[in-house]
Amino acid sequence: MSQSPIKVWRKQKTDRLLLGKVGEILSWTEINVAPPQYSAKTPYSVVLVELENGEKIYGQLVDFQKVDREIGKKVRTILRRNGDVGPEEVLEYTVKFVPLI
Amino acid sequence: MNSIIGYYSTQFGELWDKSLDDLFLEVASGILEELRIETKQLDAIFVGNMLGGVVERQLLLSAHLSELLDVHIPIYRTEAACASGGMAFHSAHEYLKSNPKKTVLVLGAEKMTDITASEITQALATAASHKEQSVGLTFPGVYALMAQVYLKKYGYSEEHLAAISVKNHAHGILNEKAHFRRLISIDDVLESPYVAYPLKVLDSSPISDGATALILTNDPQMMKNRNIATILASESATDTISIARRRRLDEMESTKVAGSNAFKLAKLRREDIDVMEVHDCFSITEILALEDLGFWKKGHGGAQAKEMATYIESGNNLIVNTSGGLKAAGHPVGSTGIKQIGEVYLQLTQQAKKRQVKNASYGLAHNVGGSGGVAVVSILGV
Repeated sequence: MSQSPIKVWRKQKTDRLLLGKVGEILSWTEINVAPPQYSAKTPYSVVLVELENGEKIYGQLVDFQKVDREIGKKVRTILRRNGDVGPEEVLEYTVKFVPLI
Repeated sequence: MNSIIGYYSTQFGELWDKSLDDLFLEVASGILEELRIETKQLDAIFVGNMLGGVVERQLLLSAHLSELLDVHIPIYRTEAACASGGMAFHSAHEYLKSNPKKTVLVLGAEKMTDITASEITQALATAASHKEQSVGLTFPGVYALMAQVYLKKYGYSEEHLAAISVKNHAHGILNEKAHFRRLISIDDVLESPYVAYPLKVLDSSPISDGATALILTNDPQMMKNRNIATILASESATDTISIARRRRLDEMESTKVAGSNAFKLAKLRREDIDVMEVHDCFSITEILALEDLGFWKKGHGGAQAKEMATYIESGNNLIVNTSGGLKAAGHPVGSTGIKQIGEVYLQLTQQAKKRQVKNASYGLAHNVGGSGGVAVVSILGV
């Protein structure tokens, strides 16, 4: 099912509030079997992070060494492209994490 | 008292020659014929199904059943992801509590194998929150996040998880309706490919087709000369859809609440339970279930699992997942909750054949929807 551009627009209004934040990995996993939108990207890592303000959010972890992908490691939020879309669909950007070095 | 007077199950597995309607019809006519009950003796039908709208693009299943069974009675459909069956049973029990002298059919059915692995992964992920889905987190992925926290916090390894699957496969070979009937070893589990680290293919319940049915009644006439189990409690509880919004990741609050309410209502102690079917969609889930239901202390589950403490030949007093669990019996999601109750019913009425647990008089079934957003805990007795 294609992604509605309105949904992408609505989500990005709150995504921008999450940029530039620092937090700690509460848990992580590496996904090998994914829905069609992410199938070409497997394996990819997803982390659950507690931000400094106590808010807990999910995101993919990118540009990391395995040693950085552990519970308790610090990460920061960045803006990246999210999954694959069809040629007629809106490209979606989303919040992902990189290690805080 | 509300009682169960019969149970029927189709084969579980990849049933390529059967549609969702075929499964409904097979299981409904199967139980009615076996118990010699006619549709005109039924007052209502409760049906558990999760994915009809997503996989088959078919809703209004009540009208399907009306057509298939030629009935015009009320039909209630429940959707609670993998607890759809448990909620159908729970709803039927609630209905009977307020309606004397009634008899109802409770069905669970799911058709899952008509689409690809990636598509069914997407379909099942609809039971995760929008935020979880939008970062590519799958249903196994959400459980993997919980497993990681559990293993790290209590110092366990993937081997502790693997023992759950080994035990459930050892039970599954005794169940002629099970999807998988073969023994597996710890090494088989550890060498199977990862689905979502640290959970592997053999930590995970399979994608299965299947249907199950129960007849419930509070009409004393209908109970005569039948194998009866009494419903002592069926309690359900809910929790947040996102695991990020929960206080702890190493427990399921919904299971704790439903379990504690069910035990209070049934006026039983944990040690009174002889057999139990718990939700093992992944190996970690069975460990959390035994802890959150109050049978094992929090954090002790990994060690208990490794000792195969609940295996039918362990010599212990509590045997878990004699059906093979979701892991080996298969997990047609809408029918799983009904199968669990059905297995406990077979055990308590001495009809469990090769897997019969001796002198079982109280049993419990525990069904989870999503990552713990819904839990149903039911206790039966004879």
